[in-house]
Amino acid sequence: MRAFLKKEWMEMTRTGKLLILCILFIMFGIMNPAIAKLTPWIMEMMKESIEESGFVIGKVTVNAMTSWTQYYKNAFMPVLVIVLMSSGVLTNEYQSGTLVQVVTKGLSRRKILLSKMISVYCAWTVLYMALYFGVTYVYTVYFWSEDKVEDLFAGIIFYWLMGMFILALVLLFSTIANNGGQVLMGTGIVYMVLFFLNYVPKLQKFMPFRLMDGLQLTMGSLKMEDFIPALITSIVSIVVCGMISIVLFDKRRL
Amino acid sequence: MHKMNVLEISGLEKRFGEKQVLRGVELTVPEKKVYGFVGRNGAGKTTTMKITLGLLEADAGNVKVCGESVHYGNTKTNRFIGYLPDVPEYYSFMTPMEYLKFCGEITGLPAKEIKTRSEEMLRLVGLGEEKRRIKGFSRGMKQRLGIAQALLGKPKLLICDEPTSALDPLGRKEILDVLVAAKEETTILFSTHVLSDVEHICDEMALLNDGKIVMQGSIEDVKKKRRSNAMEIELEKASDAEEMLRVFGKGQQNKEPQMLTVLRPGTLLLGEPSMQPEILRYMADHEIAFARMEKREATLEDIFLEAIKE
Repeated sequence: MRAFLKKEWMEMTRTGKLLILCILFIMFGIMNPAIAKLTPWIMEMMKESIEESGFVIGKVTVNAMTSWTQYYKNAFMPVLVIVLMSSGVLTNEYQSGTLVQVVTKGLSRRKILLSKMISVYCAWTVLYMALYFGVTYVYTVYFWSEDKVEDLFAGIIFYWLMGMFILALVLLFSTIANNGGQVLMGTGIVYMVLFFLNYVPKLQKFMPFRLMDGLQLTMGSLKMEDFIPALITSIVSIVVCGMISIVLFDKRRL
Repeated sequence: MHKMNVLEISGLEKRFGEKQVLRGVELTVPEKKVYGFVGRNGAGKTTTMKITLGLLEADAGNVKVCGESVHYGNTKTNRFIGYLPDVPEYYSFMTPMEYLKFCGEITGLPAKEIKTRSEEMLRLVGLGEEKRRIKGFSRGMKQRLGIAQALLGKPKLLICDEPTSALDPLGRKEILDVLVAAKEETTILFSTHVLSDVEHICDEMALLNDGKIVMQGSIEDVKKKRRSNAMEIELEKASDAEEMLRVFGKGQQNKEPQMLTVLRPGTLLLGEPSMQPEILRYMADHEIAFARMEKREATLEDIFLEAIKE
């Protein structure tokens, strides 16, 4: 299995995937504090045209919270990028037939799938934590060092878990689908179904979507307890998706 | 020590939807042989091989590799097998050496052995000096790398799916040479529809047609079984051939099959050997000279065509 993980790493670095991901995640990370920092200046630029239409702009103040608001607003982008990048993690290998040789060499299917899971989850964890969060954090602290932000880290971790949940779906569909498009479609459909279920008030607090509301924890409008049901459903879903994936992958035609 | 069968297939059946691809395949491959698995495109060769590798599920029947049953999905029997797919694909971002190292590691070979064995195998297939990544490899090079990776773990059985079909004559010869060299170490089951390849390198063969084995045995046996006693008679003058054809062309009273038929212009085929003296007598009497006269060997192609007609 170590050999297969090593191969995954080699693939990420040599095909330039890792480089692209790093650049994108750093860009996303810089964007949040940058937009916050630039807001007053942008407002100033547009002042005249806005005032012409009858609005009056007062003094715009930005602080660390502005940056973190941007962080949550934009966090779907890193998720989207990692999902797009991962949609071919197995399907590309089905199409090229490379897994056939690995399986006939005697590596068990479970080890293959486990390696894929580890590499996808690790990529997301490192890129999200070190680059998306890390870069935003460093710049935000640098620009607004006096601002105190409460309960920041829990919300950040919740959003990471949301990413893990969606990646678990991507991996699950990767064991059934024949190409990356089908993986994205399956994941998209589940996402849509959950999105509509989220309108049922009784279900809301169990929905993984709740994990995207970390900002409200920081602002104080939600408490830690409010996240627990969603945390549990998400973790259980990730585990269950993983187990179903193993069963399906064992019987899949390569 | 008694000779073991490396591969035993019995009563193998497989259907894809409406299409019954295999209808009770029976195949036994003895140790240390090059075994030719012949059949037309779509006869079920690849399907049989994939079931043997646990890549497809059989509907009925049994496959044993080195005495152990094969199961669909995760099959332990793959540790005995080296496999070369018809169109092998590799991780193109690796060099051949890296790929073999990767293969060795997932097979669980000790690091030291991987290194020596990889070098040995790459030399065998003529890729010893190749430092480029697989990305830029030609089909023949990929096919040769395929043999190297298949032989890496010293398999008891090497399964090659149409290894020469997509190659030019030179590439084909290279692959056949490598297979002959590999024969020292392992048993080779190789599928093809190119009969000359079988004649060149195989010890035994089986002919798969319409989902069944219609013929199997050593190449000589197969040929002997169908050895025809027909004679080829090539005449000096084409006009003589016409004359002979006029005299002997029709069967007596038009009932028996034709005694003489035209093979090529100027060359006749005598199907009935008992008529030989009469023909020769006629030729002597009429001063007809022949250029060549010989017994006709049945080629595998004839046998193949005859067998699939039945």
